[in-house]
Amino acid sequence: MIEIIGIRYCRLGTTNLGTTVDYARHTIGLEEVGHENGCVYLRGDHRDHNICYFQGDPADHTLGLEIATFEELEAAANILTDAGFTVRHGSEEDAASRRVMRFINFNDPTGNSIDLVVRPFHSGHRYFPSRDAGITEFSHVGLKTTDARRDEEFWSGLFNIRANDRIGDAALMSFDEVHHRIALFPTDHPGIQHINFQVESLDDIMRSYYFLTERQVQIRFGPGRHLTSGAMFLYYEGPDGMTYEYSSGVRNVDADWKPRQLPFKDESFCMWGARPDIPEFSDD
Amino acid sequence: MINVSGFRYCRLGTANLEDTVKFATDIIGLEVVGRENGFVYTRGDDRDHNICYFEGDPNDHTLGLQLDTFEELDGAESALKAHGLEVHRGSEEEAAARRCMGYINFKDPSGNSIDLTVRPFASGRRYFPSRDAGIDEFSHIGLRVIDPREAEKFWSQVFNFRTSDWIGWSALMTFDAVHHRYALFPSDRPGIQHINFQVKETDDIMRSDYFMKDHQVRIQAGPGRHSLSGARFLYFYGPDDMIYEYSCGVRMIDETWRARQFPIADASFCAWGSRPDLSVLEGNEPAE
Repeated sequence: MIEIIGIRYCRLGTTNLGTTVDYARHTIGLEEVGHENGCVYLRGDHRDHNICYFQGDPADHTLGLEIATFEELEAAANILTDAGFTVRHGSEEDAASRRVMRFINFNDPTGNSIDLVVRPFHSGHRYFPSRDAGITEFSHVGLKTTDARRDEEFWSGLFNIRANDRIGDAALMSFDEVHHRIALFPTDHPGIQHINFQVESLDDIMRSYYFLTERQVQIRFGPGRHLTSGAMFLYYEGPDGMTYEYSSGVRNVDADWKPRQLPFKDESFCMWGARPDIPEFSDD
Repeated sequence: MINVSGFRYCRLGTANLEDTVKFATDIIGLEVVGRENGFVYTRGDDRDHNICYFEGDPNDHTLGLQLDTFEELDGAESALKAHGLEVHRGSEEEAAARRCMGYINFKDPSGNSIDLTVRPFASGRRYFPSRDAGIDEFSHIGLRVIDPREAEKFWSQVFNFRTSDWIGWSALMTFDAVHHRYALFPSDRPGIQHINFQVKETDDIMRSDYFMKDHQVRIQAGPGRHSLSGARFLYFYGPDDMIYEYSCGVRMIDETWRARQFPIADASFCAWGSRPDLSVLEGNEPAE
């Protein structure tokens, strides 16, 4: 069993690095913390960084998950190799560019590129953005899957990851007390489907709703409230078609939590009546 | 000093009684509690009724306030007459139509028709609507006044109303712990400018926002959050262009509260950034 203890970063290719970084700073409300070798590092919390953008293929996405020790990293490499996956050990240079002490990389059954990292960098400076979006944490991602049942079995079979609720076959999964850290959404190709930042309160969701609307940012879903996690949300479109989400009030679950099944339809995604404009969420 | 102890009802003329009652029950989420002599009584809380609709002039509005005793009612009649206002003492039949034990009616200096009622009816049955809008209480109104400074003076000198906050010259006033029971809006005519129902929580505000859009109801403002009272709100248009409001989380104040002055600006009206219709505060709302 590979034990994940943190969700750390997304590495995203983008067709126009300058525009994307500008959007991340002034629209999402992220702080730029570094710029080296073509990589721009940004964050919405106190950790070193949450998103690394680089000029490149906008379909090139990697998710960084944290493991506690070098020993566990080696064990993880063996478990994945035994299960038939190709594992690549990151060079020192690659580790430096991920701002971690060591990492391995593999592709999940759908083909999603995953970094397993040990001792990712912390930061001595607190998060200080240029737009007050109220962001408190990089909290979860939507991960695309070509077979949600197979991929749920992969994550729950080899990792300490369990489904806390399901909408159709879309599993909302976590490795800690937060209702979900990885949500699997069925489609026909790999990639990160959305990137979530928690914000302080509903006020931040609604302020951003008007802020984004006035700036002609395409709202994809919300404002709304998920019945699964209880979180209030707003999904919107960023550069390269990436979906970003603000949410507030996600449920914490404990060992007694029993996963619930919801049908795959619009009403299962929002208890307020918002309708998604996100292909992976839509029932039509 | 006339001591108002409760906020009871609106009596509203409407051009099409049945359409209006249908909107009140199916859209606003009110319960019809009685129909007699052309009056339809509806409510959003456990009291006898909050809104009485009748077929008639849609500009014919009356607000019903509560006094505690008949002695206070007599005192109020004298006080209003001493102020130079005409007072009508309601007949038993008229009181029965207002579902109270006794009342007087007068017009405030702007011409707003006000009932002062004694012992308005309670109800033995709890509020049970046909649409779940989450309504808790009929809570406040916007009142059209010719001159908000004069109106504020009248209601605070003759009555136990006090100002909780100002936005421009418009006072938000109350007689109890709720941040406001009146919001005074400058206008060239008297009347009730909006009618507020409190709902349980933000979920109800947002559900209704989508519900209204699905039912092609025109949203007047919101969803938003009032900077003054802290309440989350949604304003929408009903029949006869009456504005109705849902809100939740209105601020409670006590005697240590100090009224604050806000400028007429979007941010004074909404902390979230919704675009309010500020013309209502400037007394130059578009002609209907």
